[in-house]
Amino acid sequence: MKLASEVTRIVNDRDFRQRMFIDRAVEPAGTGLEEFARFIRDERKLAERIVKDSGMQPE
Amino acid sequence: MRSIIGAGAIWLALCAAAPAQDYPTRTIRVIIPLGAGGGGDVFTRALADELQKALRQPVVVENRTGGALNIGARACAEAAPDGYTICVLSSEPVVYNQFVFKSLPFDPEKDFEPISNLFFNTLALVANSSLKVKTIADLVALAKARPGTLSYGTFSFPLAHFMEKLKTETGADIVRVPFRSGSEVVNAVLSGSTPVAVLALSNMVPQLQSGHITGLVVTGKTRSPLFPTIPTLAEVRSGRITLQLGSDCSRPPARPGRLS
Repeated sequence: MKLASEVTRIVNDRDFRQRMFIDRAVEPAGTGLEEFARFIRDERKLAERIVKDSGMQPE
Repeated sequence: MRSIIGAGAIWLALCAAAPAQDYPTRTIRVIIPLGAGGGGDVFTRALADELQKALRQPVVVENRTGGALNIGARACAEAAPDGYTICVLSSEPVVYNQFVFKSLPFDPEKDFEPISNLFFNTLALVANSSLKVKTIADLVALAKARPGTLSYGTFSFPLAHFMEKLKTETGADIVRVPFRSGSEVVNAVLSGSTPVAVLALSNMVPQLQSGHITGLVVTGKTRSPLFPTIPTLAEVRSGRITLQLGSDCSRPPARPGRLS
């Protein structure tokens, strides 16, 4: 997809990375969508546990 | 440490069908559920500027704040799936809020089609430098000496959870003050009205560099290269409390799709 390829090109541009990641204490993701989907799944499991452990009742 | 929960992952989502070959032919809207001036907003506007040059069409950023980031996420989910609305979303609406709220006005597992995983934020516990606290131990001691008078700012549940856990473990009495964006939190810390915060470093780089805000600890496994004097949580708390968050770029799905 054109949009995705442009986003990838932009975030990998050396100047953009310096300005928007390195100079701002941000870590580039650098992961593909499959890995990211796994990451999201894992995060949801962790989030569910954290919220449960907090004793917080859903609002 | 890298997790949407404590490091601030940000991703880009698209609420749209596969666009036509001549795409784009008109303005693209970028929705971000965060307020103007914060770290996510600054990044989104820089990305939009570059996309505008590359695609030769206007790319307009729209801040849709409030509702624990659910308002912006809903706007993204309800946008026409035509490729002309994209969203920069963080972990709160995509990962956390389904467990924090009884119901959401969107389905975090079906309503967004990921375009790109963008970055992970490094989170930090910070304080207005006038408090003269340099460490978590200093902060806890001050809070105990002045119970009920210190407050901390944050704008999301996972960040608040981190502080609440710290309070429970240490007995520190620090009142939570909710905000809608990182920029609001930074202003409150600087003014001293809410002198403590848990926030992504990207929201306050100049203030940390100038010494107006003091970083007490960062949540990553390693120290931030930009602020190497700030210790990690694992160094000072034996890894007992962890925290991360992230963001991405996504869109409404053209067809029923799942992020996970």
